[in-house]
Amino acid sequence: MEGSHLFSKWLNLQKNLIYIGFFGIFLFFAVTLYNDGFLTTRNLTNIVLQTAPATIMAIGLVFVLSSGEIDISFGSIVAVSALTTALVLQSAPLVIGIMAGLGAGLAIGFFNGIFVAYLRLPSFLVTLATMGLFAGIARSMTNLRSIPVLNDTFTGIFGSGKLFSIPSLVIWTILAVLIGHIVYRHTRFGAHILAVGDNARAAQVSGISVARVRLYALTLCGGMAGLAGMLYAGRLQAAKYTLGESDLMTVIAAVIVGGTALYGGKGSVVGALFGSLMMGMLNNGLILMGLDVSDQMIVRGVIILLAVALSLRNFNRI
Amino acid sequence: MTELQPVLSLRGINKAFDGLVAIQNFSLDLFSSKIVALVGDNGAGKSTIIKVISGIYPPTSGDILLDGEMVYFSDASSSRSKGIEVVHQDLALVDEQPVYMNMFLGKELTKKPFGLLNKARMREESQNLVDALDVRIPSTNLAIRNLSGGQRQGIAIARAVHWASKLILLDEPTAALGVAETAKVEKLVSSLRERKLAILLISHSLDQVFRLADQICVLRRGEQIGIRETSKTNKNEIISMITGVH
Ligand SMILES: Nc1ncnc2c1ncn2[C@@H]1O[C@H](COP(=O)(O)OP(=O)(O)OP(=O)(O)O)[C@@H](O)[C@H]1O
Ligand SMILES: [Mg+2]
Repeated sequence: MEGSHLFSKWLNLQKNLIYIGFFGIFLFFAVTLYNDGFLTTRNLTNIVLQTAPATIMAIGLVFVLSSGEIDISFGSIVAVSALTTALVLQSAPLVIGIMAGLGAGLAIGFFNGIFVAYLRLPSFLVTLATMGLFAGIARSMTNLRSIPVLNDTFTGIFGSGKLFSIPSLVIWTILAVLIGHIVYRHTRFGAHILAVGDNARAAQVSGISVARVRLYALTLCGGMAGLAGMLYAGRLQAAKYTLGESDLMTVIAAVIVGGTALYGGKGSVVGALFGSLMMGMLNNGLILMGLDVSDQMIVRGVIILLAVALSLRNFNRI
Repeated sequence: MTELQPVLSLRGINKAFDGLVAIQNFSLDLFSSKIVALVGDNGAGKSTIIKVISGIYPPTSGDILLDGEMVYFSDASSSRSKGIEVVHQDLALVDEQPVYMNMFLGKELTKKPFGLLNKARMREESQNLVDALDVRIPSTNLAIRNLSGGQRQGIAIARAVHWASKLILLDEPTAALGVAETAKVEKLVSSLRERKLAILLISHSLDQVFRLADQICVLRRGEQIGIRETSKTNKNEIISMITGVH
């Protein structure tokens, strides 16, 4: 009795872990780094702006993981999309540039999806291969050169611009979370993603087109990575093959810590937002603490391990 | 009453899996308000017949007639849209999702104008249905994972009843149940006659088959051994048909 009571308490704690962790880390930095300017509006806004692309990628990944698959190629998709946009914008109008960047992301996601959904190859191996493939393509597209983005409208919409004095990257984040959450929780597509990731046979015998759901999940993830690539290009006013390269660990950690199951069937878009903000806050705080890059990596690794352990530890598992 | 046309007719169905013959020349008529039991040992091909009828496996050859018209089901959604529902041997429920989402799995209700899920209505209809069928669960908001084996079976049957307008195929619906739960499911299956449904029941319990079925169809290693009226046969005959030992 006592034990099961404690156990259900633990489950509740585990469910809300991301929010507890988020506010715990926030309070910790707010106190210890008060004099280093952690709490200033400028610094806090900066954290949100810096995490915007990772948040967008994380939302795409929530859909893929929930469907029972994984995508580890999104970092390479980010680079290819950013470079495609930058190259196209050199000679074409805004709309064409946007469509090219988004289209590149969707196309690569679709490419992944065909192998996973219709050839039934393991998504880990497919996207491991395409991660390398498209990282190589990103490098060769411009011979490692960085391409400037000079279109002011583009850098305004995807980077430094504001609407009603709200930075555009914040607006993108809010829009993506809002729409992502509604699609995930309140549409048939979202319900089918969760069903396929939970029990693909049950989904199939209920008349859900399992292959199509998997294809769409991976395509959507590619599209989100494409959008993230354009946000990078807009903010930095340039595109380079290195964009997205270092986001893999951060984004996967953000999604898992945010309550999405690694093996499908359940997850949370809002949780992924907080996971991503938590990772950004961690980066920011560790820099303000004056840790050098190698120490930052070590501390971040340890904290991610801890967070994942706490959020995934299942006391019923054999 | 005029002499009835079968709801479903199977004519000379064959099904092979890469050379392995699972079903040979199988023919059967199912009528409204009648229960036909399909019996046979493990691996005889019973579940395969159900999957052929419901469009999950295409037959290698043979015809399926629904209300006298030839049909071809390319997947489960096409058979479901014609009023055919299955309670699968593994129940086909989604563990992490609540009862009401399982009840509407693949047929979720939406509302205007954005086509978002109508969760309130799905909850309400699910509640009415489990009440009507006397499936006792604490709440339709509960995830399937938190239900007992009997409750899960009840949900799977309730879902089939909700959507079926012509035919229900039940694959060992009481395999995991205790005595009281089994009696309840049997009562439920029997009451489906009043809903004018045709029923195909797979069971390993001959007692159950003799309690419920109007006809018994015996399968042995994919071969159709014969069909008997329940009232004109006995357990010994059925057992020797199943095993091939006289
Ligand atoms: N998808 C498949 N691929 C290959 N062989 C299959 C497949 N499904 C069924 N079989 C084979 O077809 C035969 C009949 O299987 P089926 O599941 O229909 O048996 P069953 O009568 O339902 O048995 P049980 O009483 O154990 O449920 C078995 O030999 C099985 O191995
Ligand atoms: Mg079977």
